[in-house]
Amino acid sequence: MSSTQRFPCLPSRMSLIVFKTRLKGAQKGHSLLKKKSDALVMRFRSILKLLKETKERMEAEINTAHVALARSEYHAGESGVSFAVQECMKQNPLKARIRSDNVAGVSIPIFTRGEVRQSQDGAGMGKGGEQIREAREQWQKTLSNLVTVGSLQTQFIVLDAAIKVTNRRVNALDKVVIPKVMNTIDYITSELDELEREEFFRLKMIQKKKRTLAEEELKYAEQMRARGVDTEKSVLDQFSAKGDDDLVC
Amino acid sequence: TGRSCLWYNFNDGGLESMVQGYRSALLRHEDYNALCQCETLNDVKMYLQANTSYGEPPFLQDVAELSASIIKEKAQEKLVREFNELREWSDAPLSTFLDFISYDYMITNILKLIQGARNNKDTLELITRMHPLGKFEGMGAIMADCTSVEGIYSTMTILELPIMKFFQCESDRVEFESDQSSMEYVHAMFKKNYLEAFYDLCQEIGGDTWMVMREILEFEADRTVIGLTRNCFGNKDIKPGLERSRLFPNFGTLVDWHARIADCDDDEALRAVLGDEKGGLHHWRALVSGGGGGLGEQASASSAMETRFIEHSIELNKASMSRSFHYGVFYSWLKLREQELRNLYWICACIELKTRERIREFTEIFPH
Repeated sequence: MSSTQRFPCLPSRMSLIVFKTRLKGAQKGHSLLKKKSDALVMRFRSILKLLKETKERMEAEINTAHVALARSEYHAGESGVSFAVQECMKQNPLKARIRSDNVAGVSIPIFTRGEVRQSQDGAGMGKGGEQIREAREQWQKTLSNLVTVGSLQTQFIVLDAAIKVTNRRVNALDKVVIPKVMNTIDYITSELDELEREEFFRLKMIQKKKRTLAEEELKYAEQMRARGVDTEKSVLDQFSAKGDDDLVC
Repeated sequence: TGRSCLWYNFNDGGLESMVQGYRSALLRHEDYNALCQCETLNDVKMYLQANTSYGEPPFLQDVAELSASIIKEKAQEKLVREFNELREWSDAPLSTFLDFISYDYMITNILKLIQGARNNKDTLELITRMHPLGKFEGMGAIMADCTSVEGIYSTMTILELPIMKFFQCESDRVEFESDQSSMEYVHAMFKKNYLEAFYDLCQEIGGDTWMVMREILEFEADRTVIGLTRNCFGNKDIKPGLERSRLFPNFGTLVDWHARIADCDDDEALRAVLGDEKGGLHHWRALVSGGGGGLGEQASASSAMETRFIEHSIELNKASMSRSFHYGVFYSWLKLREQELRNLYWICACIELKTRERIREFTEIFPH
């Protein structure tokens, strides 16, 4: 257990409490983020399915639209079609609207097709008007499909990024933060235990020391008593005032 | 008369025989059958090179990647080459006649320039979209000046372009310069002026040319009238009545009914006018309502009508080519070739888009 896998801290009761709260927070966050990620993945899958279906449908529709265009070129001539297209460009025949949806706190954009402005420019007035109108209808259909695909694709990308970030967070909590906090708590508890043991040991040592000292004292006193020295007086007697000049009384 | 025929052969006989030669090179029923069998555009290219006049000079040799529009473009280049050859070798009045044919394309090109000026398009982009038959001297000058509609108009005046006469009418000029009127309206207006002028020219040339071209141009005018009317249903910019009839060419078999046709605002009314027993428009009734379908609401019926128009115009052009000693052959040959180009494009587009079931939806020039 190297020191990099735990937070730098002072092993104290105080920091133990701090880290225990931190662990609780991390676990709560982990479970919440896990739920969010699950919700996003669910949405992601449904969008993926829808996107695939729409794209497959598009393939056939774009083909039809191209055939209709070729048909209108057959009847109206290339210049007729290009006139019609250029006329259309003066205004915006179709607008896409944007709104946003909220999935588990991630806002995803949704594009919808706005109203189609039916232009009255009389495209292909000379020749092939019917075919140009038909081609226009087909392409408008294709265009609204394109809007749908674009919307789904954008949602797909946004959700993908959101899922990645969420999963990274979940993993970071799961694999880094929580183990690190646990390690720190372990470290702190072990350090505290160690301190406690040291204290205990120290106390024991002192007790032992005191006991031996007391025993020695007792032994000495008994020896003295055996020699007939009153231990109570003898010490003081050595320093009696008589016959000592240095002593000032 | 025999004498005029002699002079015809003396002046234009060589060119006419060239055109008749081109006519026999038009794609035939067998060719279309073979083309419809092609699996890829490469097969189309191989067939055209090996079995048709498109092989001479080599066709599509230097094209890296085939597409329907490239094939069409190259085929059109061939047509333009042949037409320009004819135009260079011709003398007046045939040269005037041929020039007149190309004016149609010039008008389209001028309109493209105007549209480019209105939408602030790049010059380069415009050049690529010009119809090659409608290229003319001074187009570069106009393009350089193509910043405003007035600029184009004044440059055209300075250059004294022959097509100016279609833009000359004072009331038309107003339409032309105002940005409000739609391009299609302006186009229809010029097309009308063009058709009328062409009609006058043919009358001036007279003889068999007048006989043949009259029928063709009258049909063209009638077709324009019907087409305009049908495409203007419900159009708020071009109201029924006088405003619409201003766009109708002032000749044709329907000329006496123009006012009544212009008043129509739906298929029912149009059918009623054309179906009028007293009108004597049997010919048109047959074209419009042939096959019992009639002018229907459905797209199929209307496209069937367009197809009948195409068929009829092919018939007229074929009839014109079977006669001699007149200029109509040149016009008819060009129109038949254009139909051929359209057919070719449709076949290629169907192959490209893998829509084989619709590949037969074109009109052959020689069906049997």
